[in-house]
Amino acid sequence: MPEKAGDLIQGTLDMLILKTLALESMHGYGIAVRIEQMSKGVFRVNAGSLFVALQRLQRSGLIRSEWKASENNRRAKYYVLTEQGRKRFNSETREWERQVAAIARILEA
Amino acid sequence: MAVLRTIAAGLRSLFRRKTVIREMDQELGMFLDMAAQEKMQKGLSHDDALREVRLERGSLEIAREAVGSAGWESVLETFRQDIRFGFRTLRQHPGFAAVVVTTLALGIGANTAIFSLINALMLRTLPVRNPGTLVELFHQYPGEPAFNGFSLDSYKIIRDGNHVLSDLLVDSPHFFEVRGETLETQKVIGGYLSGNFFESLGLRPAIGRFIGAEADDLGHPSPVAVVSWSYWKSKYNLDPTILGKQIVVNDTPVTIIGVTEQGFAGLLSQEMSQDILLPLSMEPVVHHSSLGWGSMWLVGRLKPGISIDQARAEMAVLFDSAIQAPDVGPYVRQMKFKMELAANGISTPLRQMLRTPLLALMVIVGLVLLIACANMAGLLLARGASRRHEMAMRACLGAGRLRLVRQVLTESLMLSLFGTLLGVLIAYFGVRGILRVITSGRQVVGLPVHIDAFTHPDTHVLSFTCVIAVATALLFGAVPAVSLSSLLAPGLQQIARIGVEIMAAL
Repeated sequence: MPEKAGDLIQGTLDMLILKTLALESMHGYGIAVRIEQMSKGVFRVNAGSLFVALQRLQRSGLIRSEWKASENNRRAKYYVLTEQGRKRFNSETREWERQVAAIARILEA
Repeated sequence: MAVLRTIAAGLRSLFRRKTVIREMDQELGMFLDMAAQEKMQKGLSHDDALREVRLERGSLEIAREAVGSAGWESVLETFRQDIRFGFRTLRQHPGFAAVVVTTLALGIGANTAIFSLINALMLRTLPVRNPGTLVELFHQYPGEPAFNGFSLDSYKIIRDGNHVLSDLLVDSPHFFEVRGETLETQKVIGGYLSGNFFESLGLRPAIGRFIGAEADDLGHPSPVAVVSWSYWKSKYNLDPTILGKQIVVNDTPVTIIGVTEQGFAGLLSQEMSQDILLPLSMEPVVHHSSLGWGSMWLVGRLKPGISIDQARAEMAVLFDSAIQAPDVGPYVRQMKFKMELAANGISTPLRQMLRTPLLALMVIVGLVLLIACANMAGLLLARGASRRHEMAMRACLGAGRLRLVRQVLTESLMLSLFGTLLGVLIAYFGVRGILRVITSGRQVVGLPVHIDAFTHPDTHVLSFTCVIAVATALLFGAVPAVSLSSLLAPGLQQIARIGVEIMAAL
């Protein structure tokens, strides 16, 4: 696991973002908070890595963005999962589960 | 799709830079606000809340930089910044820039000029089918230069007796005095061709038809002519009614039946174009020639799989038997046979005369450019001492070492680019000057030279110039760049001293 609490395993941030957006479309800060909440405070997302990941996902067509009014009525950029993103999320989830199960078996052996 | 989207997004942030930055600022601002708001609800003051967000989430400035430098377009963006900065630096030192650019312009100009001569004379291949299998035939009297130009009898012996050539072509260059309805009398280079000439070279007429097998029928000379495309353009303005027109060549009227395709004008290589091509059978009529020794210029095409050495061996035997014929004079009997590849055309006197001097000159101007590079590297190094301060400052502000090296190299590239642009101009006029000098008043050259063929832009020459421009920049820029970026420590001390002084003054 990560050396210090809050570090993410390389490559998992993309998957977590996709998961968050699979529930509902969300702005950047919302995504960060949601990941934190869902991990019960284990993962703390750094703004730099978050926005770099968002740009990357957007450029590969897995998410798209739109400017909308936020909950307290300010203009915010919301990210939405695309159909392609949903497919990718499903396949990555399956792959992740397969790997986790395999690692668990090794550790328990 | 993903690739297109990545390209589109990159282009957007390049060309709509302000919008993209504003959107990013807005988004990060919102992020900061929302995070801070939450902290303040827990009872923190505004400032404390902001500080804590920064601690938890990292600096938003850094986030912005990270997003900005993640895409492919950031490479270009950095390059643009480097160029703008380079411009400013060079403007601050106009004397230095002028010296370097002029030195480079002379060096690169000389190299380009000599190379374009070499290219036109020795590298450019003829625009015909498989030029690599063409060979030129010579005879050589001991101790003299080799000459093309055989007799009709020896031509027949060589043509019919060999097993190594798939074709033997005749292209005998001659001067013609041409006049016509709309033409003033003018001296033009032309030639007499054998009937297999156009077919063997895989050429098609631009309009009309070509001279065919009737060219070889010496008993029935056919008064026809094929003109070159450039002649058609300059004298007839590409008028298609040229077909069927009569022109008078050395007092013999002939009818124009076709025009060669653009770019082809005989085998004399491209600096001398043969504009009027007549059938071989017309040579006795127009030039009152008996087709004796010296009149027929021969070019062969090697059969597939035959090497030039194999061909030479067999052809030499045939040649020896040809010169043993009873009517051959004693001078001719002493001649030896010679054969060379002719992918870039028949060897003209100009080419024979210039070959060795040009290669020697190429080496010399190459060395001159190398020396110039060394001098400029020294100049840059010396200037580097005065830039140490600036480099250290940039390093303090967060520029990595690679970025510093890149900056200095970009400046070198810019200097080299300006030098190259100026150098190409120098080369253009230089080549014309050199050719004028070479071709003026020299009987040995004899034939007028198409100077445009040498200065015509050519991918060979352009890529050669680009390569030396970049190579030059790397040569004179690399050492100073690396040494500058590695000598940061003294510069840092200097800055530290200034800092202490400022603090003391306060």
